Amino acid sequence: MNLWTKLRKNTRLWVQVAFTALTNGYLLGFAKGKIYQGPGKQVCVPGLNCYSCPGAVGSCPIGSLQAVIGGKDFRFSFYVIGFLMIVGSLAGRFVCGWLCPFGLVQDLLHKLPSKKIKNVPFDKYLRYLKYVVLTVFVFGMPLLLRGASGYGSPWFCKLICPSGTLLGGIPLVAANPSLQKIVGVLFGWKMAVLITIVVLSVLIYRPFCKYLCPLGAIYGLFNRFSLYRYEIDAHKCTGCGLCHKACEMNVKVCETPNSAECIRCGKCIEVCPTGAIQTTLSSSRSSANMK
Amino acid sequence: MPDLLRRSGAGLLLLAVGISFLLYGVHRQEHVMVANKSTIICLECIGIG
Repeated sequence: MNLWTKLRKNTRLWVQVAFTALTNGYLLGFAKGKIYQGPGKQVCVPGLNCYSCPGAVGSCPIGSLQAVIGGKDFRFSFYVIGFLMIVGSLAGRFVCGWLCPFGLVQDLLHKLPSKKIKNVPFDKYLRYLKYVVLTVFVFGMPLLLRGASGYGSPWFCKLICPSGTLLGGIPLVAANPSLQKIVGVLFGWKMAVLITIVVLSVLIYRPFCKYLCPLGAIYGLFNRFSLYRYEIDAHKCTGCGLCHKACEMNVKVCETPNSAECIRCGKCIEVCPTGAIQTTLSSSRSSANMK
Repeated sequence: MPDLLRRSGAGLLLLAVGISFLLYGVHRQEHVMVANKSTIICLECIGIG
């Protein structure tokens, strides 16, 4: 395989790496143990990217959402929900597959050689957990549990988010002696969550995206409606099931091409022997046969 | 354009609503709230406070 073929084969990986580097490009932050404080922080990035990551040049939409609804002034964030609607209606979970830094981390971990688990017990039910996380930790608790100051905490970030621990907590604590002095039980809990997800990611493809990520839960709701979607040419599809076999998110692509679980990685398109799976961006096709 | 509207009408509607929400959020200065939170190290987010 020559270099060009290798590069083409790994297009998604390169896009993930480039986007992660672009949105975490404040290298001075890593060196000094500080974070970027410029105007870019007013704008959300599409993926789960902790705004306390030393390199982050934008804001995590889930963190921002909790910050606004947990504040004193508003109980709903038109700004962040509007942003999520724009991204979702354009691309849905394409963001998870191509642009999310923590998705990239899980993809890389899954490349490590080990026994892989494709059929997780209770998978069908566990997939609903991310909607529970979204409802309880992202919306419910920041809105309802308020301290004496009147502010709600970002409970998802505080108790669950492994991206915050990996991209924010570890580099900041490592580079900042004053933070090292105040590390406590919560940091231990978050490290335990992170380590669990790291280990599971080696065995299971993207466990955090499948079962816990509230951002994936939101974008997944848009998969059916987004401008970028998959379509099946019913005349070309032979029902061979190769697409399902290739899909690491376990989506039955030929039956539900726009499942909320699909992260648009494109593996099904690559393996389809008849070219029956197309995207709404594919140009020459008759829409009459599409489902 | 009519084909895009027919096949992606719901997506375009959601996009229009999203843009309206975002602009209204900017009008309410929510982006400033986001920046106020994200330009200081969020100790809770990184598992410290």
